[in-house]
Amino acid sequence: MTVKLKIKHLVLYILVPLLVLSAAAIWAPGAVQRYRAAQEPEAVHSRMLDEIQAASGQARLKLIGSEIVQNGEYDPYRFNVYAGSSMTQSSSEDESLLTPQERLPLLEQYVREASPDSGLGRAAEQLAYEYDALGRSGDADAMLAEAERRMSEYSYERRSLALTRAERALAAGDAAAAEELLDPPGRPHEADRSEPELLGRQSWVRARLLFVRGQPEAALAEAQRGLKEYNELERKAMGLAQPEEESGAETAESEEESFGQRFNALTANQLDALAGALRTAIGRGGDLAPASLSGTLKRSDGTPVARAGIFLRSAREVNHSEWESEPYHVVTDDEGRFEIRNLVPGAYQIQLGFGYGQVDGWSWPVESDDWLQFAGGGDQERDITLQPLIQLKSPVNDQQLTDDSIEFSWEAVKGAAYYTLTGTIPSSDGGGSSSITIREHISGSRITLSAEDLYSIQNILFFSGSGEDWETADTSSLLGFLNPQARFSWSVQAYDKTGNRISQSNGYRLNPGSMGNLPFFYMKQRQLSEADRLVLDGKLVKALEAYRARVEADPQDVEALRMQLRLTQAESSPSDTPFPSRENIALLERLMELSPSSNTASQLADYFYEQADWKEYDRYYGIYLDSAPDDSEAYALAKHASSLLYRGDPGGAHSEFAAAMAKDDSHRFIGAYLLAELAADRALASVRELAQRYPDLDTPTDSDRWRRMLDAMDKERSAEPAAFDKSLRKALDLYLAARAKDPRSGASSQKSGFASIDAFLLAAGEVR
Amino acid sequence: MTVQGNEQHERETVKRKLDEELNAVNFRAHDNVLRRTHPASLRARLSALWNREVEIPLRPAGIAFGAAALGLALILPYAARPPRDVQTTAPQRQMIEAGGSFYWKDLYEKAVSEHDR
Repeated sequence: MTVKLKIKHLVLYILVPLLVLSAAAIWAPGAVQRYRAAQEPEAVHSRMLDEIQAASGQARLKLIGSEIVQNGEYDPYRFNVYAGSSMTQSSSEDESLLTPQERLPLLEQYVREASPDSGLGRAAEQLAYEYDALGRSGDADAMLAEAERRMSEYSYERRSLALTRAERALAAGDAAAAEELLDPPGRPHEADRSEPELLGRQSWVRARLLFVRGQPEAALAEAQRGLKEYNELERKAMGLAQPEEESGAETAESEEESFGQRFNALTANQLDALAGALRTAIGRGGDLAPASLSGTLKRSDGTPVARAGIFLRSAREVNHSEWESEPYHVVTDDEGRFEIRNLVPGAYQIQLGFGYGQVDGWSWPVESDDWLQFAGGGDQERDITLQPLIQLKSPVNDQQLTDDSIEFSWEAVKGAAYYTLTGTIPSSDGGGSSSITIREHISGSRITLSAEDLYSIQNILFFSGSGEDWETADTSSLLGFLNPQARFSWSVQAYDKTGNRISQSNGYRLNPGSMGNLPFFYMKQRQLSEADRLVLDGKLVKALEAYRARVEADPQDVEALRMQLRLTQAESSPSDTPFPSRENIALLERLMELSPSSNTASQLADYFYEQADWKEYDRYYGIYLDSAPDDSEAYALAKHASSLLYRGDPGGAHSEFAAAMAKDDSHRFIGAYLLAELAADRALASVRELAQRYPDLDTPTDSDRWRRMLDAMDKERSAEPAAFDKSLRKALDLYLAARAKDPRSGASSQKSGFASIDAFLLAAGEVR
Repeated sequence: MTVQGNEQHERETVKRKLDEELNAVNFRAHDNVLRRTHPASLRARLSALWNREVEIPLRPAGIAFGAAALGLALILPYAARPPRDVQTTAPQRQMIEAGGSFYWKDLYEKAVSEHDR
């Protein structure tokens, strides 16, 4: 068959469409790529700059306003990464498009020329931040004053800027200037009632001013008044009912707090935080003069880190995620210097804010619970040094380990006395992981371990379900390093000879140079056994049976013994069944013989502690100490101290508790320590002094409770000292006698006759 | 009479002789001559070409060849320049945590795939 057609039809209906199609096919990918390239940050960045440079007059100001001033990314104290000893969080935003150097002249022009009611205040605050970061705070103050002068009188923005200036004056130590800015003449107070935000801020500055002037009680009253007023006005503005007055002062207060937190109101949070800090400080007594902190932030090679955020957070705020409400924040200047004044005395943690570029490849090695204690009027200096991340050498990059001996090695750190090696075991769903210390006090930058060493490390057990069904135990965490399929990772931390962490391998690794080796490896030395497979399949009951059968067949089968123990532990975890149960003790003791480890020793010690079997307890505590000579945990020390106390050795308890306090900056065992001191007949005043020195930061919202309890005891004692002392001695003896038999026994039901003594013993009995 | 008669006779002879000699020659270049003397316009020629009819044999082999050519024409540009990986050019980079450290997802995945090889 043939088709007859004219040339013109051939061309029009076949060749032309074909040509168009292929042209499109050639053009499209290129165009898509060009479009993508145009959306890349660099392209957007240069396009934005070009646009602004090309514009002039009002158009230019308008562009600066919309692209920079109103852009939340350039808000002061906004960082990509927040690092602290209690938490590290990272915001997911990209790095800002325009560099500070590019923004500075644009902001200067905007503050100079833009009309006063178009975000001038916002621009001025951004510019002040940039000046501060350059160490030009004088320029910042002058610029802010000039900007305020340009704004229309009585405007909200002008009042807000005046308050910013007052805060700055206060922070710079110029109380007189702050006061003048706070209450400018000719401004009727009443008009402010439509502006709760301004009123609240005003109250905050005023309270701080009072505190700086040595009137902490008046400052507290002002902060409380301001908070109350603020919440009332906000409620009115939202059309909500006022809370009932009769509900009592205590509940009203908590109501105020929850209201502020619910609406996430910055000002309310600030007032609340200040009031809380003042209340705690006043309750504690002593010198209440403002304290201060100063220092520099540098890299280990000496280069200063400019433009980083320095936050001081009290125990109450340390776990909040909001950062702008921090009462104490500054930005480091061009030489990395920072200074924070007017601190309410108390315990604080330093937290830092970084851009990705600043922190990439570097770490701020800080211990968890690294508290700075500020006494009244105390000036502390603290230099912070960022360290390069430790580079890992082996095993890395998903290496499959098949040898029985495993050498972990990493780059040596200058000044390091020892290292800690930490392993990470992924959860079976891949969503999480748990970290576990593999070895501590490693003196060199390498350590050779056997596969057995890793197998013996017991992982923290976690449950994927509600935790009620033990079969929801995470299978990967049960097998730990025994699992040849899991992708493990490791890290190291370096310490100097005084025990301060000076560097680590974990951190931000955001470019090919800083990424280094990836810390992953597989343990392929062994195959999965049948019982292991049952574990991985989640059939834990069957797996436990299989391990049991193996142990019965061969009592020397360490692997099966270990897994049987882990599974029985999982079995007893969700319920209240104590672990180790009596039947497991035999297994633990056999494991101790076959493959001794500090972990097994401490489990046995725990068991015999709870049984008040002091002979066996001492034996395993001794083995535990031998296997972890320099770094026994504060937990074990405190427990040992308690055991000595129950056995009638208050002197031994005293020194062990003192060691535990030194090891644990959160002082969570302080209650038990205080009890031991009272039992040793120490005077109430000196015991109170201990409570003051070691606030219970494990309960950050009420870190002062022990001191308060001792104050209450002191008060009751003053009325009838002899009767009190007698009752205290008797109550303590009863308590210790009960504990010597059963260290887990609760408080005695027998009342001492003094409420403060009963309250103290009840609380001390709950210290774990 | 004789002069005239002779001339006529001679002419006829020449004519006959000429005819005989040219008997083998055929003139068939009328078209060429016409084209030389009356050249056709370009337009007319194009129009002729445009309207020329072609015959395309529609056999299975022909169809297959045509389809292959069409496919090639469409695919070749992509094959020559495949679109780049979307990850590397995406404007928003994603950060991930792996083994306790933080990485840009694209760089991390690239590194992992390199170690896999």
